[in-house]
Amino acid sequence: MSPWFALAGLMTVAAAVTEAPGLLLVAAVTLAYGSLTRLWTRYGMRRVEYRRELGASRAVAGDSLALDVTIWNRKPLPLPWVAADDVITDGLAVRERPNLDRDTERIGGRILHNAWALAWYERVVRHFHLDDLHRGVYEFGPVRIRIRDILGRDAVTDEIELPASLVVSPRTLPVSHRQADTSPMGERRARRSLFADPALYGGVRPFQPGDSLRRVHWRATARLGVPVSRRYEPARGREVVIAIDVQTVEGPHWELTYDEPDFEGLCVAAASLARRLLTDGASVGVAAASFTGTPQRFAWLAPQASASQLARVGGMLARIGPISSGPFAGMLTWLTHRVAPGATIMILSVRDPRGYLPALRRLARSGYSVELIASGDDAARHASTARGAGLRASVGRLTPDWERADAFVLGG
Amino acid sequence: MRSSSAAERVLPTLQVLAEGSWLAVVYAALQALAGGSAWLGPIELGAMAWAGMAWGRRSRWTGSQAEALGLPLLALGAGAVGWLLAPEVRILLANGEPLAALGAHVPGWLGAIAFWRGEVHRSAEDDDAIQDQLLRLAIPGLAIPWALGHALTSGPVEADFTAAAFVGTVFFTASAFMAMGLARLEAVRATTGSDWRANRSWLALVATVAIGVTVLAIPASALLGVPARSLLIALIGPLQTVVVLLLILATPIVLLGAAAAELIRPLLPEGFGLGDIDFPDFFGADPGQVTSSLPSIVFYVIVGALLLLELTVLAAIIWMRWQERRKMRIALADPFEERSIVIPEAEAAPAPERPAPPRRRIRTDDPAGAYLAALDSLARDGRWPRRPAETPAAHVARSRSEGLADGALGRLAVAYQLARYGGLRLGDLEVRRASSRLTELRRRLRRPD
Repeated sequence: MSPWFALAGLMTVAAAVTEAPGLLLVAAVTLAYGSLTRLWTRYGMRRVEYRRELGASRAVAGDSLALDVTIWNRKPLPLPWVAADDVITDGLAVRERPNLDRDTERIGGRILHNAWALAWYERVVRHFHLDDLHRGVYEFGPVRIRIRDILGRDAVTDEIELPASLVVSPRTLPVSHRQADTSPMGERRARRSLFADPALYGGVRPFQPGDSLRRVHWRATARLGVPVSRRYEPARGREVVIAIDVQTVEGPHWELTYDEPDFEGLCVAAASLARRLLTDGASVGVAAASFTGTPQRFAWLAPQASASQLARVGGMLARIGPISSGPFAGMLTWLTHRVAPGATIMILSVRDPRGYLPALRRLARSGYSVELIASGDDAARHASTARGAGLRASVGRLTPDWERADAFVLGG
Repeated sequence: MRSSSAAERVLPTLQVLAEGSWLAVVYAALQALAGGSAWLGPIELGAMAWAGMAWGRRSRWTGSQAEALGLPLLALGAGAVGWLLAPEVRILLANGEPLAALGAHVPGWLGAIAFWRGEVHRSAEDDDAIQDQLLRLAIPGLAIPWALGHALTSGPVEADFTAAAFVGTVFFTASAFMAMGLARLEAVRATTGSDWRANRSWLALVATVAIGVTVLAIPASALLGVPARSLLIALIGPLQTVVVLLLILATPIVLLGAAAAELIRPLLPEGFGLGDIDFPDFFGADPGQVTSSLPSIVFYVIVGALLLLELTVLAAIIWMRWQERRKMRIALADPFEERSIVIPEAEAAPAPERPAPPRRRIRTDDPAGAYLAALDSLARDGRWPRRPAETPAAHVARSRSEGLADGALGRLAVAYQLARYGGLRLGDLEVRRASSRLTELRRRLRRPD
């Protein structure tokens, strides 16, 4: 029994014994005060609906996104005070809530706090805006809902999971070459081919013994008077893996220091290159020695040329962080288990390549086409070091910086 | 953050009224113990609490000296005012008996406590916490003065006490509940920036609860012998104050109307009559008859001041309304919050559960039936039920490994497999034993581990 009820009962007894009717009045008020909370404790949380709607589940860095929070009291009992603490990953800027409190239960969590007073069947929608999104993966939920009675006393609390995530990919920029006569990225001339692609019709050639009758171009044969067969372009799908060296500071890979602008620049460069390569028809994959929230040691996205691959690349680039999960040279060696020889390994790094040059040479000797795109302050020197070791290398720059650049420029 | 002028006015008023009300009950009890009538009520003590709150929330004179001396001195002043409100004190003072006056109407010094209680509300940010504390303590605490008043008085003194304490309690209940609700709304506004003035529903709810509690308390107390006079005082008391205030405020308007009528009198047609109002006249009066023009001067000064005050208040109200409309227009242009009453469609009632098919009675006098009955018993027991993809042999092996050492299940399972899977016809002895093995197994299941 509530102490308030006990007190009211005691007062009633005292009023009866001492013949003091005024005490009954106080007992009635005490009873009313004590029983108010019970009403909301028992029925407060029933048929309360909390919804969170993100404008999109994927976005690009720098975008603004709408976030609608809806609460609906689907019952006749008004709710004088409903508070909802929605836990969101740190790093989001909510326009309407410039200062979000830290969550005490979850590391790296912030609380989007809302409180309402809801009438019977009232539904309230609040329109929030997430501004200037930064690259990353943001998790939403759980939501802690607390209901108080009319006097502000805690009546009932509940926690709903309501999970949601927002993947913010790095922005992509046009890729331009300083030299106009540079061959397409990741592409080398195929001198011969074991297979021909029947979708790539390349003209006719004289009939050779062994050609199938299906291959004979009958109209051209009739026109020319000699038997000719169709000729197809060699089948040579380009397969490019962008290997990102997430370590931005020289030293052992396990050091927790990093240069954030350099790392973000690498992500923007990788996304821009992937977009360009996919537009050119190549199969693009991404590899990085970084954790992505899975037990895998290396972040890996197998090469694909499909239209949705760019979104997958963006998602992976959103998940990786600047802390190395292993030595970069080790990851390059690990790549040989994932990619067949003949593929192009495009390395994006801001570090001196001497640390992983042996691994690059081994890849080149194994039949991979290796190309270093050096970035950062000493990019020219690093590119020159790689060239000295007999590898293709170029310098990639985001000018003036990764946030304001309007193109990713490749140069010699 | 937007300011909430309504809250700035209404909430403090309710808070000081609540403070004055509970103190009025205490005062009534103390006066009753002293054998006197109550001269102070919730309004008077509330006014002193208001003075204390105004002192606590002042923006000037915040130096350490003012802080150290101000509160005690002003509280003493408020106590003195409370003490002086009793006519007997004033009469004794007028008769030149200050010592006797000091001994009279001692509970009037509760005005000092009222001032101090008002000063406790110095920070508007703590309104909800202070109000909560007041409700928690004062509601049961009111029982003490009520009990003392009833226990130690009788006759007309007790009736006077009951009337005064009842008014105080009713005022306290209504004002404290409303103040609590509004303080919470203010706290919501402070944390979320959402202006509660747009949410009338909660205001209505708070008012309904306050009125409901009062309405419930009144018949309950009336039934139990609280005098009807006190009920009337509680209901009409605030109205009387309002009527008097309205009369005072309307005086300048009435006088202006009379002056205007006097001016237009020559323009009116012959025989059109207007009532006459005699204005105090001290300019054209006969000097021989006028003894002093001071009362007339004071009258016109008061009327002029009232008129000025009313015009100022009117201008302030118009300005605030205009500001409010402007804010509303801005808010509607970029709505952050949308509110609507949406009654959910009636949810389809859940389909009635299909009655479970009648249980087939298993014959336990043959080995297969006995085994199936044993499985039923194991399922009901819950410790070693057979899993859906488990063979009888695997089930027996698992049950043994999990502690069912009894061999009856194993024998029943073997008999079942031979009869069902092997297609063998078991001997009469085996058939007879099946039933006893089932009984043995069930007995084992009734025993705890």
